[in-house]
Amino acid sequence: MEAGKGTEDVFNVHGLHLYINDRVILKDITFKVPNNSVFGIMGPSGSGKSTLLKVLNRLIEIYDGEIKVEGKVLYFGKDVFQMEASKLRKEVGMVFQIPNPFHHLSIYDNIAYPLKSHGIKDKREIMRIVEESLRKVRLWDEVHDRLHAPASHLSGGQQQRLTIARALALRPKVLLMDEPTSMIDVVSAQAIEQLITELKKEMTIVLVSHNPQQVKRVADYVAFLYNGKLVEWGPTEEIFDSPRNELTQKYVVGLID
Amino acid sequence: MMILKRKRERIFYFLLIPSSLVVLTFMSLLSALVYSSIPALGRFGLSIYTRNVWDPVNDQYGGLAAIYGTVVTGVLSVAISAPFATAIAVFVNDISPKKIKSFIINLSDLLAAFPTVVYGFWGLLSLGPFLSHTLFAFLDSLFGLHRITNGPSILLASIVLAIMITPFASSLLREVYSQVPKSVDEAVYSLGLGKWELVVLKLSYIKRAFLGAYALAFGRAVGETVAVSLTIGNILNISPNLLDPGYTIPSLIISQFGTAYGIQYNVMFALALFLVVIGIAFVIISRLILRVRL
Repeated sequence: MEAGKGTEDVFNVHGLHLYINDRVILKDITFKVPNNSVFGIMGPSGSGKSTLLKVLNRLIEIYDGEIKVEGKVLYFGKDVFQMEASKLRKEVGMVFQIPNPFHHLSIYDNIAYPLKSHGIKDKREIMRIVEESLRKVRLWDEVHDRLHAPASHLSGGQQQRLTIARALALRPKVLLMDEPTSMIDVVSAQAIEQLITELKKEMTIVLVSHNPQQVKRVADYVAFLYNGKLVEWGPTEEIFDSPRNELTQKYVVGLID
Repeated sequence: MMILKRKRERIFYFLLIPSSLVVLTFMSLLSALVYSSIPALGRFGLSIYTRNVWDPVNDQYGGLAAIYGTVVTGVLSVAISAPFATAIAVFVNDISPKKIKSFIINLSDLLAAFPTVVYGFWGLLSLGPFLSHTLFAFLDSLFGLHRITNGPSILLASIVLAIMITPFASSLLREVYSQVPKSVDEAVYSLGLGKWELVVLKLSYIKRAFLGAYALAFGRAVGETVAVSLTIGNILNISPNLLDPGYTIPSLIISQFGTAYGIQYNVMFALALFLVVIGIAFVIISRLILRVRL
């Protein structure tokens, strides 16, 4: 354990059941996300990966359905449902499958607006954070001369990096990524994978992916979700090299999709 | 043109008839207006639009006061209505519980369907006297805007118009507002921001459509006849005092058309033509604004 790395788990999910409009979506889910790791969640479409991710920052609550949760979801030992949602979400950033920058705002404002809303008023400080965040995601060189152009002018891959920069600007402790590379070009996707391995020095990343190979490349731990159930989870090598469950075995070699 | 080979598809040729009716209606309306305007325009030239005189005895006509009243009531009603329509759009989409939402929407749609004469009578008989004793008296004491009527005035007509166009404008706005993609909500909330930021960002997201909706609402306001005629006081008057009575082009036409003869009749058409020009200008402007991708 390096200095500064807590032994405490970032997330501790125990016996989680999630119901949306009285339909069970997640069943009896238990796992722990260790600090400063990349935690992959993989599984076929409709297995509940994204939903599970959105429970972690309580984003699940913003949709129309009626939510019922059983079991515990602890964030650094605190029950997330007892926390103030905005405070939780500021610390637990999120990146979505389809890049969702504020299309009508400028590149600069995409990062600056949330900062201002969170109380950072000093323009130079904002500019510093904007530059720092854009550099982290390697977007700075591409956009530094057109920071005030609308975000809609960027390519899909650039937009995705912008949304990552926007999340990073708030200095989150965790970054949730919901299939961040599935809708963008290969080069940007590689850049983002590279970024994920760099970012884990500073934060914990929970990565949802329907691509087991990507999970294998970047994740330290991996959970395999199937039909709303957690089939198994553990260190990546274990899950890929010696899965305990037959379903997992089939999935990692591509027999289930 | 596409060649319609199959027999049953020949029936599509008949669809041409209703479509060509649109063209025919437009042409015949416009040509009737122009045709009947020509004697007046020939005799007075553009002074019909630039002078303020209405003297049937000596056959002298200039409708500047009505044009002034039309534009002022149009602009004023839009200015009064805009904050309310926006507030309704935001409230029903992002603030109110679902039940209240559908209640407000249904009621608002019902209001939009009310006959305008009802608004006119209500404005004349209820709202006018009430405002005269409250808001207008207050404005009088504050700015010394003298009142010469018990309600009917440019301001009363503008307020009645504002009330009439608000359901229409708010239904356009709430439609556009509700079409802002859910990904904006996701982005806002995932950044730890709240409803305030959500509303601000959504409004800025739809600001072009907002302008378009109001261009359409303005078009409605300047064309409204009965309700305005009942509440504006019908006096040819160009006064900066909004509590003075005035006229608009439609209210002038409806109140004088029955007794008009000779050249006065043609002057009415010339003024109606001007109204059409204002209307077309606003349709074009709103189209241009709405065409821009959101």
